[in-house]
Amino acid sequence: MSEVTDLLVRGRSDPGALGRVFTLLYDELRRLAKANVGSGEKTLSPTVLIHEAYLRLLGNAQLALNDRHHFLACAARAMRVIWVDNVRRRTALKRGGPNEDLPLDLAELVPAPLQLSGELLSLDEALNRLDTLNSRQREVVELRYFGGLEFAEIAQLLECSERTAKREWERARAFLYVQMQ
Amino acid sequence: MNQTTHDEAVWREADLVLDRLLDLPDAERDAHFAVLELPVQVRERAARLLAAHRRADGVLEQPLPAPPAPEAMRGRRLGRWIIEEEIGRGGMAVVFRARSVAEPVGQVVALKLLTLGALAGDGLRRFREEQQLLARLRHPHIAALIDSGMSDEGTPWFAMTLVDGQRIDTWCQARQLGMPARVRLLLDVCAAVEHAHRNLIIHRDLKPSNVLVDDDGNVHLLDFGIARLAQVGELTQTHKRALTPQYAAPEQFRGAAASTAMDVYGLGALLYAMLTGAPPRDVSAEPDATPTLPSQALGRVETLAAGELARARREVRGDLDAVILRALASEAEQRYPGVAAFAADLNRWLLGQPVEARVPSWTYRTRKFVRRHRIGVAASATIVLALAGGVVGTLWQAAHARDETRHALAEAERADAVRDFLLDLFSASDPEHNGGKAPDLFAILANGAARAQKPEALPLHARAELLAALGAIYRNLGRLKESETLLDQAIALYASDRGDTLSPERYAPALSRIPLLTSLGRSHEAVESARKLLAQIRADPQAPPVALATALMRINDARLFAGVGDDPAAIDDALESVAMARREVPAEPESLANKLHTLAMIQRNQENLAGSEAAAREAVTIFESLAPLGRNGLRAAVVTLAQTLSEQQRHDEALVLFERGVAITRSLYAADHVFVARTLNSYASELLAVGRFDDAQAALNESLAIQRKAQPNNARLAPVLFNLAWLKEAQGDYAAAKAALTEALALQQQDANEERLTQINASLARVLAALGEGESARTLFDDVEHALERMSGGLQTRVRIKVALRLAQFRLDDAQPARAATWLAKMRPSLQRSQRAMDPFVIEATLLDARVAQALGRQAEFSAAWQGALGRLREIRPELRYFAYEHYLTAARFALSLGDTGTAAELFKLGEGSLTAQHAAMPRLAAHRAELLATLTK
Repeated sequence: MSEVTDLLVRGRSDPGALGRVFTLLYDELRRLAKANVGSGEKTLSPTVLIHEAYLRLLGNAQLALNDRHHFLACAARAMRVIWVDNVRRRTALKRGGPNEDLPLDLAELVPAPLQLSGELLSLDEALNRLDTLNSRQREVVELRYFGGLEFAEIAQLLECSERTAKREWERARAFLYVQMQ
Repeated sequence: MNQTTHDEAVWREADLVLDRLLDLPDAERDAHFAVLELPVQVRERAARLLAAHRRADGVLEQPLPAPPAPEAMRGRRLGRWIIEEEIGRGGMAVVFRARSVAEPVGQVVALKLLTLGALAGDGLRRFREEQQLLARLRHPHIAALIDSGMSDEGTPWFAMTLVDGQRIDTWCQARQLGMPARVRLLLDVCAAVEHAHRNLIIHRDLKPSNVLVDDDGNVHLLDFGIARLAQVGELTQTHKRALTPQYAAPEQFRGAAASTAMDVYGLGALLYAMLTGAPPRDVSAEPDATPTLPSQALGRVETLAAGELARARREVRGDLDAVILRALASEAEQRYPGVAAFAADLNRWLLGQPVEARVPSWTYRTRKFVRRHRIGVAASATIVLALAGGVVGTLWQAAHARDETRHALAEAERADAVRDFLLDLFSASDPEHNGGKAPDLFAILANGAARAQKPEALPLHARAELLAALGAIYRNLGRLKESETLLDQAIALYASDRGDTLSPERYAPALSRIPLLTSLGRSHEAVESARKLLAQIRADPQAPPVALATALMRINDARLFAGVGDDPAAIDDALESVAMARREVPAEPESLANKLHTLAMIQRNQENLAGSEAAAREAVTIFESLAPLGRNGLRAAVVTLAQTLSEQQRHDEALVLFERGVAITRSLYAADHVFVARTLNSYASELLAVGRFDDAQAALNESLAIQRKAQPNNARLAPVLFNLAWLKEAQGDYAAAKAALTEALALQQQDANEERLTQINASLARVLAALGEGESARTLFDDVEHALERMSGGLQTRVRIKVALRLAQFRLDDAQPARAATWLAKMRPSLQRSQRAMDPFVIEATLLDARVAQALGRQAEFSAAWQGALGRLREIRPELRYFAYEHYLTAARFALSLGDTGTAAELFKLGEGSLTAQHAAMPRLAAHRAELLATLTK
């Protein structure tokens, strides 16, 4: 069993284990994002990155739904953190010591328009706010926007109907827009 | 309630309102909203939410932004390099052209920036270690690592020689290089990789884009060690990105540790791409899938002229296919053990020598066979499983049950196919079973044989077929006694067949029995058997044509072994058999090739060397085209061709072919198989002819050892002993020669082969004379003389002429020139027919003529003969004089005896020019030479 599978199993009862999963994913996704540097595409597909991280860390392991949920949730969260941290760095907010510095390329990750980076910061904050009100909506946004999951997948993970998942997204989207105005 | 929580509550309410509104179609929402009873704050926020919901310009509407444009790097400084321009990018790195701005200034390199993220802690240390290793890698074909480092953020980069060149596969196509030239180019790459391996560095990412060739034709290998450094590379990209590496070894997909075998695979894949224009695997293929044979994939991508394509296919097909496929084996252990071994085999291919790439595993051959004979998958699966499980009888029944409703001929065809399948599977028994994967042959066969012998197991025809097939298999495996038992049983079964339809296979066991008898050393019996069988088949209107054709071939094989190859009927039978084979529909190339081979042997036996060479060459060509099958036939045909060339004094060509024959034999048979012994003996004959006595001794020793173990006290030992005796005699060890010949005689007497017996006797008699046992020699020569007189057809074969020459020589030495003259006269007609450019027999005979005539006082005859002999000796081409060395000495001594010192000196000088160490090591010749030297320099 891979380390991550192990951690996920433990994570069913031990949040500390999930924290470790998050750290692993953070490292992994950061690396993967770098590998997508210069692909020529205008946009980045988080689906690809997370899928890859999944393969790398879990291989062919079949996870229980709960574990899979946790994994993807961590992944989406990690993606969010990576992106946002990046933006923060770019706008001259340093984090941590040399080893934790984000690598060269990712610093360039976000191009103009500069507004977007500002918006990402707002989004981040707005998401935090959303989280206090409706954790599930926040999760849906993370999974969809940062994790690149489809509604069907999200529905499966959250054990609700696809219609419900879509609705949650709509509601969250509206709230976040308002928050960022 | 505090402010925050109140705020939150409001938002939650508003959210719920939105939810309710979203249940409605958009057109109705506003209206509905208007009539809702809501607190002010809630209403206000809900309104904003509703409005926001209708907007499409939020952050979330846009996908996550993409990574940076490459322009961002221009002008950036790393170490002493300034980045100028991007020149390429791959899955894990971007490559720039960079220029140094610190000492030494002005260097231009390819700077590769890895896009893998920072190396934390341990990674940094590993990276630095790696750099030291790579920096030490200096080779003309490896792009040198000039500098390396890490950016402030921890991104590793390398500066390497900037190579101005084209990808190796494109380079080959652009210049339309022939296949050998491409292979030679790859050998340069192999040298580079081998060098790296010696320095414990594995490339792991060999592919065309990593090998550049510059205008001068030098190869440059890029990116050593980078793959190792990469934690994530192209290998883990999802299929959506379509970056499945087509050049990586299967175990790389499973995350195996790096090994040289991965690079062997990479080189194989690279060569594959260089030849065919495409990698061995499709993008979407399983890593373990077997690739298409290179020879068949040629021309799909690259456009070649029709003639070029055909030639390339011919060149690649067979050996080169096998070499490449071995390098591309799914299992690492089945590949070449290292790059050196791979390169060595490629070199062998270039030189036209046999390659070591094993005959493919039996699963590959099974698959090929199935395709060839169009057996249904179910049937073939059953066969393979059954063989592995040892239940041959059951499967046979199953196969036949399916055939119940089919036409009788179709049934026969299928049974044919199954039988051929078995034969095919076992006809090249390889002692090196792959790690126990192949089943224990003998256990299965014994099991099959036992089952087949039970009457209740199968219907009569099926049993007989099975027994016949097993008998043939056992023969090929060298188990002759078992073979005979099974074949006899099969024959008996067919004889007892009272059924309505006779099996078309009914002649098969009897046909198989003929070569078996020969193998058992009962060649006389074999000929008789064959004659009877042939008559039987000719008299049977329903006999299948293939039976007649095979019988014709087999009888000739038997004749040759029995020493009656000069039978006039033989040529007719051989020609008829070949003609029939050519007319076969569907064409059976292997069958034709076998018959051509037999024809070649008969023709050689009857002095038609040109015809023999042509037939043998055709046979060889056909067998080669059947590769990797047909190796056994190729082996025999190659040896026959070699012997024909040897007879024409084309020894250089002959030796190459003999060596090839030995190599093929060794690759097909166990080290202790009698076929190895026989081929070695033929090879030894040739080595003796060209005076390579040490090599001949070695070959004979091995052959003898094998033969003694496999078939002790068998007439088949005699030819080896005969050669050994010749060698010993030449070396002056008459006692050993006598012992060998005596044993040979005893063994040969088991097999009533008159010619062979006489040959041995003549040699023995000569040795006895040399040992001073005059009386015994004389008696024996008398026997020889009687035997020659008895033999029908007179002195038709070379063997008989040789014996007669020995006899004549002895008579002359024994002061009986008249008797010598008689025999010389008898052989004259045959010798006059000799078409050979330089025939040692003719020279020897003419010399004898002269000496005999002189002894008998027949002046006119003497003059003519002596002039004739001198003329022949003088006109021998320098490179062939070696073979007549002995005769130069004899003639010189004779000239001296006539008082003609001048001629003696001339002859001696001609001979001297071709003297070799081998000659000098032959006591008798050395003694004569010393004598002459002494006399002539007085």
